[in-house]
Amino acid sequence: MIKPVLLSFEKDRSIAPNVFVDLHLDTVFNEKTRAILAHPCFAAELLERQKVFTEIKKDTIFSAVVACRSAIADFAREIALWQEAKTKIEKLFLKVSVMEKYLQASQALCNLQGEGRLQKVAEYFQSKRDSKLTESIVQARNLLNLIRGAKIGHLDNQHIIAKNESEKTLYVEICDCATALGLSFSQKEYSAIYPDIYISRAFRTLYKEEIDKIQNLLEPYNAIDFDEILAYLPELDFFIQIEEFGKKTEKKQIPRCIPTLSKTKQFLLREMYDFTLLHLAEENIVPNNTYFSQEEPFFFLLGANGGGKTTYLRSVGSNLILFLAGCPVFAQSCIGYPFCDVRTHYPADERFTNIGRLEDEKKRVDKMLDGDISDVFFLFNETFSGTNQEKGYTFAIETVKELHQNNSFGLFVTHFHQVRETKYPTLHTVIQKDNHKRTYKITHAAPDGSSYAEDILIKYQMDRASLAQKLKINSERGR
Amino acid sequence: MKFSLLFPNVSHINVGNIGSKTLYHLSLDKSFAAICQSKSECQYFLETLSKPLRSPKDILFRQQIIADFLQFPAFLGELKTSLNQFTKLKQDFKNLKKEIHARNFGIGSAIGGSRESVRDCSRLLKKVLYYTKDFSQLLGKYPTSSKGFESILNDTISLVQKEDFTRLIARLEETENVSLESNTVFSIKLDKNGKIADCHLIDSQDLSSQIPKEKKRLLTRKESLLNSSYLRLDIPSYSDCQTKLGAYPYMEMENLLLSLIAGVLDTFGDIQKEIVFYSVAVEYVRWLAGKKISFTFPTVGDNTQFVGMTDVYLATTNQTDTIVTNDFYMSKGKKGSIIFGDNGNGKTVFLRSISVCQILAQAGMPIPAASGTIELFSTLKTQFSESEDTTSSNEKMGRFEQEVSELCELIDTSESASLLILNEIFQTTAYAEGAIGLYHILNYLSAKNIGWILVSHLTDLNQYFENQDVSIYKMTKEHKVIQIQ
Repeated sequence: MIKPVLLSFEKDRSIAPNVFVDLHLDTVFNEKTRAILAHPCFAAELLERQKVFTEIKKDTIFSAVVACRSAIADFAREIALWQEAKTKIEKLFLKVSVMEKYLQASQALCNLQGEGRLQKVAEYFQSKRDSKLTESIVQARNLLNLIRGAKIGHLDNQHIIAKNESEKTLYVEICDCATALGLSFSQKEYSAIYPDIYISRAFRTLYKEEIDKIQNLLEPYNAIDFDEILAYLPELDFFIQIEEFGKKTEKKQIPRCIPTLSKTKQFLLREMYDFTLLHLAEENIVPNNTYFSQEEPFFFLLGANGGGKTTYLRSVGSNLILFLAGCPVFAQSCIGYPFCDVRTHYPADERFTNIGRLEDEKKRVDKMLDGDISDVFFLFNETFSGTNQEKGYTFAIETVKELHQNNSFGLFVTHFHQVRETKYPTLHTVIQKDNHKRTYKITHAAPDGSSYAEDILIKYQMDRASLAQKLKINSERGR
Repeated sequence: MKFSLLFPNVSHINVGNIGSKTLYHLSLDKSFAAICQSKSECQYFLETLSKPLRSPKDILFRQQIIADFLQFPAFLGELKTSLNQFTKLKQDFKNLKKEIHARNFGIGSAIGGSRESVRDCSRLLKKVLYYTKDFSQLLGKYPTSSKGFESILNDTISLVQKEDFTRLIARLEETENVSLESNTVFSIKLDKNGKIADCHLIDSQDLSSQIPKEKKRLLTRKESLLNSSYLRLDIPSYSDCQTKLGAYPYMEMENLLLSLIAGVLDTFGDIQKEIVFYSVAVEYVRWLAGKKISFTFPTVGDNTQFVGMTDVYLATTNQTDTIVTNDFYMSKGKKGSIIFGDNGNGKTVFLRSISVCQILAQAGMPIPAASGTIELFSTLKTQFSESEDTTSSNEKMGRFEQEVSELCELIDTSESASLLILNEIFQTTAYAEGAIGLYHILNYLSAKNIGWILVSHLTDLNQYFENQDVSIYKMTKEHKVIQIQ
């Protein structure tokens, strides 16, 4: 039986590290999780991972996964201690502990519940159960418990060591008396002392019989491949971190959903949230929709400063990366195509040694457009803003033209308002007309520059999202 | 287990608070300065008074102890002497800890230092245990009837009469024998990771005395003996393992003994300070008796009533036969009490007498009255008409504003079932306006279940409170109070 995995990924498909920084995903997920998110999945793998996420949404299944992860982490820690052990007596004790942890980790894998890959892993480890191994480890532990200790004294200026047959020590007797008298006292714990080779040798001599028996019990299992179990640790960590983050966002009333996979190229989200704002303890995150389809694969996003353009860009990018890794996204609903890469272009610090800002930007853009880009999703944030309006606009249009020719998807945040005169669709930030207050809503505008009726609806809270919110409040009141 | 002479249960202390200026307003500081033996005694006593008891059981607890001391005056003296010895033991413990810290500075000195420390700790712990025994015997010497002493006596007897007490002293005698010259045996135990945890002293006897003669001869040979219960252990002296094995059993024992000493001393709580309260109480009773002033232990009830009250402060300054006693009654149903009268008739004295009786009663003390019942209040605060406060924060306020500001703070910090004592306030403005303003405030206090007693010249209040649930008194020129409503 081949060992099943919880996730597999294509190392050829890889999102560059700068994308995670640009989209603030480095503030939300740790390095190990990002390492997995960095490899977008093919459709089949995506679906398998979605199945796992669907299962672990259930509390009992999630608890079993967490317990499993905990048991494997303990196992890994014990192995590390065993490998660091300096004396033979320590190695022996730790080897028994390692085997005990191995059994516990195996059992935890057997206890995994749910369908799909979780079930396959559980079945695999159930088939590998070995009752003889369990018995041997129990016996080994019992023998270890007989190696109680020793007493050390002096004879003619020499140290003498002897077996200690559970003699009561002065310390223990005083503690017992104090307890019986109801006196309070504290027992300071000192960190354990590493036995040197002399003590180790002495113990191995004093308890030779027991030690020989233990070694005989462990010998048949010396060839067990521990990595078979340890390999699940990063996989479980990934699912757990994503799910735990999801549970936190649920407390803030931010919805999550498992996206629907599409064979045609599109990326449509309804009520999408920028979940990276939670790390800034932002309370009122405004949701938005996306409109990326075959008919309109690429948009320019325009609008007032501080109106939410970068936030929108980030929401699109971060949710896309989650989707491509088979994770739930933070939206009411999502339909998406499995793009192979996400590439971002953000303003960089001016530290170019030999070249100016514009040259650096062009260089980076050229690199982004290298190779087959038909299945790549691009996100540009005020690219080419490091030059005059005329030049910047020209470069921007040339870039988007190339993307259009390759049928690439993407979003370009810009202040070049001339783009409204082009054929490319635009999105706009919505500002309240009377007091210029930002709503952080993004609306889809017609290429001729006029707004749809939608932004007017938003101002009076008659748009779909506002109406849905009102319905929710009413029904909650009704309850 | 923790002893206390002031509270039956130190883990559940239920006390209120008295306003920061109250003891000053009522001249309690001056009154007891004349009675106490020293300033520090007076300070401790007043601190105790400033935390009124809120439970009848706690009040009775203290009353009974005072009664015991009054019945057995020699007991108080002996107890004070014994507690002085206890204070010395506490000081010895403090000094020992300093010495040990100095000895143990740096692991190099730890071996020698710790053996000496184990010996010193054993000696001090023994002393403390023997003190406990003597203390128990002292308590048993007098047939006291208070629950306080009964409880401490039972606790100490149950400790010192147990077999484990004698066994503990015997073990301490063994640890006391640890010295720099003799060798000791210690045990080591391996933890689940094969490291050495648990390194304890077994006894101070030489291991060699436990090894059979024929084995000893074999052990002196160069090679270690296999298949034997005893082996020679060749550890180089520079080994880190050897250093720690040598130090840990002693450091561990030293820590255990220090914590035991602290534990036993802690059992005695603060009784060496608490005895001061009773010392003053007894002195106060003697002083009252000397002045031929009636005194009584009041009971706790629903209403407040004092019969034949004497003002303590006046008694410190005047001949007792010139002091006029008075009665006071405030039922629970009443909102408050107002006292009117001409200047010099004794309104403030009357107010002070009531307040002092209430405070002393809620401290468990006898009151200077022929009889008394008290209702318990959670806090007791006073506001007396004062001179203008020209401190920087109040500079811009006039006197009336200061009064209002102060009263506001008093009310905000008073919980339900508090008592406010107000002496001639709101007279720093037009009387008619002061009266109506105060009237509304007093009604508010009542609505909040805060009791109040007011001395005032604002006679308009008489008609505002006419036929309401407020007691109204008038002081005559003979310094006698008559109740007019």
